[in-house]
Amino acid sequence: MAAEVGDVLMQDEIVSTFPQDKVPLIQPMIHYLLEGLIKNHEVDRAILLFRDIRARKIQPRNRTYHLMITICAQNLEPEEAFNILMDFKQVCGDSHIPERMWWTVLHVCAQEGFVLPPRLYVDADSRQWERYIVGNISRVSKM
Amino acid sequence: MYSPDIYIQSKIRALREEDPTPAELDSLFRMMDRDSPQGELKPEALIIWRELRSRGVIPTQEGYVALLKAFISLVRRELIGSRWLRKLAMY
Repeated sequence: MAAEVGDVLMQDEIVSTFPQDKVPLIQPMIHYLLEGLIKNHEVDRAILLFRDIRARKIQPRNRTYHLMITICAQNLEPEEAFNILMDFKQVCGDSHIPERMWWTVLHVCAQEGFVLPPRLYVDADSRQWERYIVGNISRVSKM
Repeated sequence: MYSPDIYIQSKIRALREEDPTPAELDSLFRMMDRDSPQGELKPEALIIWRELRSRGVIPTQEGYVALLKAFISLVRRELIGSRWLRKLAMY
């Protein structure tokens, strides 16, 4: 554990020098930074960093989106996973989202009670999945 | 691009009391990342970075990518076989 805490401090030390040295934060750096935080069980911090990155209009790599969606799903953060999935869809388009991403988000949404028992069959069309999850999230929120 | 001679080159530079160029530093970090799949060279990489930065030798973006990557290399070995890492490996 001490070594892990040390790793985060070392990462922080490196990153804190970027503004001073005028080193721009590029996509691969973002990915490894997030992966480093996740490795050190700092998932909340990784989520906040990812939000900040998106707020600054920096576009992460597709694999970074995949990583964050998977991590949010693993850590039972359905709303965050859903928001990142929607952002990913908006930025990269439907065709870049593998079907398993929709399944991953749907699964965690269902696990956390955001999806009510289905009354209709939904096919694999992602637009329908989106409507299905959004509909259920808003329904559950109103309850 | 990996330069297998970078360790020797760095040693010669150090013996001559010369600083490496940012590009050489990038190569060194890339090689250190590659040679330490379990993060063995992580502390050494950090010490080199601190020392050279204090002397004004700053790696380029590629060097920083390798440096940050060296910090997470440990996890890949530690968690092999775990369910979520297998998922991650797909990306």
